[in-house]
Amino acid sequence: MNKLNHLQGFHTHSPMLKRPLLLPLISLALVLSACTGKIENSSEETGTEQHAGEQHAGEQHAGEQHAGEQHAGEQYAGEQHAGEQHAGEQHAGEQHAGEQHAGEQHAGEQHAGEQHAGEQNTSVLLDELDRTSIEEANNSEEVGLVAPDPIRVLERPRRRMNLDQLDRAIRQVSGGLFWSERRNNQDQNLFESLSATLGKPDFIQRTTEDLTPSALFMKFLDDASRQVCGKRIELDIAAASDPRIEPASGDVVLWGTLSPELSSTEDPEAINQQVRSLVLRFHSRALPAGESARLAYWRWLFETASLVDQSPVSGWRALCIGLINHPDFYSY
Amino acid sequence: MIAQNISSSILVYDQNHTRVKSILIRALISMITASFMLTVYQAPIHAQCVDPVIEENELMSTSELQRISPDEALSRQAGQWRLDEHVEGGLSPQRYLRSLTLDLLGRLPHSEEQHILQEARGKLSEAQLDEWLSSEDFGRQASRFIRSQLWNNISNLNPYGNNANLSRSQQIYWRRNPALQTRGDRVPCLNEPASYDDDGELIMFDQEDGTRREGWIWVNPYWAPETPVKICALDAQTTEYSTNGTFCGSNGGANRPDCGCGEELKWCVTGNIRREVTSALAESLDRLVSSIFISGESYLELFQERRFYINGPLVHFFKHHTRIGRYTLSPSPIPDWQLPDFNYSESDRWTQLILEGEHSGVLTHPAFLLRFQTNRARASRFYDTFLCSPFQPPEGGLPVPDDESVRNPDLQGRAGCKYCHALLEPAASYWGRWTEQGIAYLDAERFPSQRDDCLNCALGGGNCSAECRSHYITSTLSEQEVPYLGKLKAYSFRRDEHEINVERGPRLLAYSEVTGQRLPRCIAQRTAEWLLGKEMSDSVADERDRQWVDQLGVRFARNGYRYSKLIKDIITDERYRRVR
Repeated sequence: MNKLNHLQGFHTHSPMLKRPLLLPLISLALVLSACTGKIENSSEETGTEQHAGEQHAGEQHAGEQHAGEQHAGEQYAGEQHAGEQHAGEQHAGEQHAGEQHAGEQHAGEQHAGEQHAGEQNTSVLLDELDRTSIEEANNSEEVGLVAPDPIRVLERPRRRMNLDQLDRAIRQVSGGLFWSERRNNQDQNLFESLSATLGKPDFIQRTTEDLTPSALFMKFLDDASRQVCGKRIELDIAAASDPRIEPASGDVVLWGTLSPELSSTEDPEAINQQVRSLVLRFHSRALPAGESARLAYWRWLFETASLVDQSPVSGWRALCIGLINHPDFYSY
Repeated sequence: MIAQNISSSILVYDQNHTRVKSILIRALISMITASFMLTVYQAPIHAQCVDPVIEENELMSTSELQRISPDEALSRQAGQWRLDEHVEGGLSPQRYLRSLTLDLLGRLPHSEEQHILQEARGKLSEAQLDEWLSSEDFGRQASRFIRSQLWNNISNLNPYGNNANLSRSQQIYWRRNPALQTRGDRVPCLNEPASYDDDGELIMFDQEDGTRREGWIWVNPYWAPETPVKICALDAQTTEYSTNGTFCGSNGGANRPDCGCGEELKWCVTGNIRREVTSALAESLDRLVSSIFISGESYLELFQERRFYINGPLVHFFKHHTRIGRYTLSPSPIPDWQLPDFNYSESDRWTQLILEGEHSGVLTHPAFLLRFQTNRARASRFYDTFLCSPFQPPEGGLPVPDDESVRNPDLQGRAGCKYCHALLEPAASYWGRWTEQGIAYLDAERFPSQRDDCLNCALGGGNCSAECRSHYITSTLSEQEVPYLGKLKAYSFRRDEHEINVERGPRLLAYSEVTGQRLPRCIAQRTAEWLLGKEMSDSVADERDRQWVDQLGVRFARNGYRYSKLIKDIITDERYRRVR
């Protein structure tokens, strides 16, 4: 929050960073001091002051919030006045910066600069220098001694599906098939029977849900995908070879309306289109027409598996398994 | 990089079909395979093989969404986002659709929904969202979320006393505990049909082990009326009242030798029945939650709803089993006259009842009451879940009470304890008319705040009735408790200003928190945590997120606690639409 408001102030109101006089003042003071040799270790002191300002910036959240709401000119005038009041007091500038707004680290530096200038008995007093008026300053270029913190992008972490979502998602993409085991002549849903192992809470022994894509989860997901994709292909091949079996719709069959024996060399565009539709079905990614990196990524898997077994069906199976095991499927 | 390798390899393969190149490609592919598997298994960080910026630009070039940059987003507050906007660096329309359907409906988008989105050039319609938020799927997701807060799984509980449980040996049902009284030991009857003498009396046979046993008879049980089962004749008796006047369908009657399971074995249960009843109670709460969210009613209905969902097993439970319970189930929260005429086997037939009294939605639902069996636990759960204010000791621990303080039976005043109990005791008293370790409801007419008969027996030393002993203060351990003798237990150490808590029930607790901002803000926080998948508590969230949750809470309250509006505020926000 502090970083963001700091930046917000910089981009919109810039109450603390529109200080074009700050840089020339300090530079001039350093140059003059260096010439007279009366300021020693000035860079170290400046660094220390700057650090103090940053530290306050990190601590004063509430102050930052108000910083963006106040008028830049008023705020600056107030700071300057306060700085003059406290000039000569030990650490007055730092204290002031800490009490006021977080983004006012430059004010703190300035006050501290005045203070140290007084302590070191420099030959040039900052208050005697010609200054740019506030009105002129507002029309000048914005500069800052410290690089602004980057905007913290608001986002959420990518989340793994819970078991209910995953079970349903696999049924959706496979046309109603689910990960199961035959027990007592009944198909037991393994996502249910293994739910405790996979971190689903029962609210008796466990009250929080484990949604990490752990090695155990990945192992079971791999098992599930191999079984479900295998079942899907068996059903579709059986339907293709036996006219008495009603085939599944093209939305469910992995090779769509294509022949299961069609290879990418015979009709590359048809294969591309089917790969696109599978990526859309499994990952909800609408791949653009023509070549794209993501298309090549999946088509490569299809072609590799097809090549190894000399059968495009193996390619479709590998694609199905790969799509389910990919984070784009089980996380969102 | 991988994608480039893939593309180049395939390009070569497509253009040259020579054997040599094929072998080379195979070698290359095996290398890339390893990279691919690494990519897949090192989820989710390395999943992206495509530069997201390029992909985003490509997708946005074909959409009608208004692109919002991070700079523009800085000025946005909660509720100022629209569906026809795209957050720079955020989810593509299709992936956003996927996230929404998974979160709100628990499924992937249908192909029709994807098609509609493509037709609309990436713009998701408000009407579509409203349709989702009033669907059964959303109801299930919302009740799943509430279940994660109320923990209404009571499958580990056995609400029945041991005397009601039926055992099974050699396909014959029998009651184990009462057998000690009727047969001389915990043994089943003989595996033969029961015999009766000329007077119709059951014949008992003396056994070598000293027990006396009878045979079995066929009975059509209430859980399977079409399937007769064998049950020992003594356990199948249908007498309503014992010879000493005890009701046979009660814990006391079950021990009487002339009492059995009643007609169709209605007072006895098996393990399956226990599981079905506890499961139905939990589902009843889920259905209540789901119906409230689907109908778009105020979220506060969760705390003031008088509806109760009931099915066949629950009808039987409330009609016949409230007096054979391990817990205090009587007086039943649902009077007999309200119970519909459902058979036990109608487990899929659900209907709604409107309960009387001060029933307070999920907070007095039997599943919640059985899950949290003391009033303090119930209050604590409410504070933790709905107010985000768990009762925790301060850092550094509690002060050690002195001797005098230790003797103070009022935890509201005892040093150390009072840190939590000064607040917890009045809060717990909201459940004062629902029994602890049970679900019974003590209505004000039958159970006034003070009863003379209970006071008299407490002061006079006579035998107090079961009702007095169970629900009223009839004995004390210290002089400070004497003023509360004869009062309902919930009135113990209740201050005058807190007595209304007992009479109005937990709904008053919810109302009292509505006037403050704590309840809506906490609900907003919990919902944001659900949808964003990260903790948003004050101790974890940064200032900007805390302010955002504040705004969500305020908007939630201003919108009449419409949960759908709160959800829209969250899912349209950039926090939801940009994924790391």
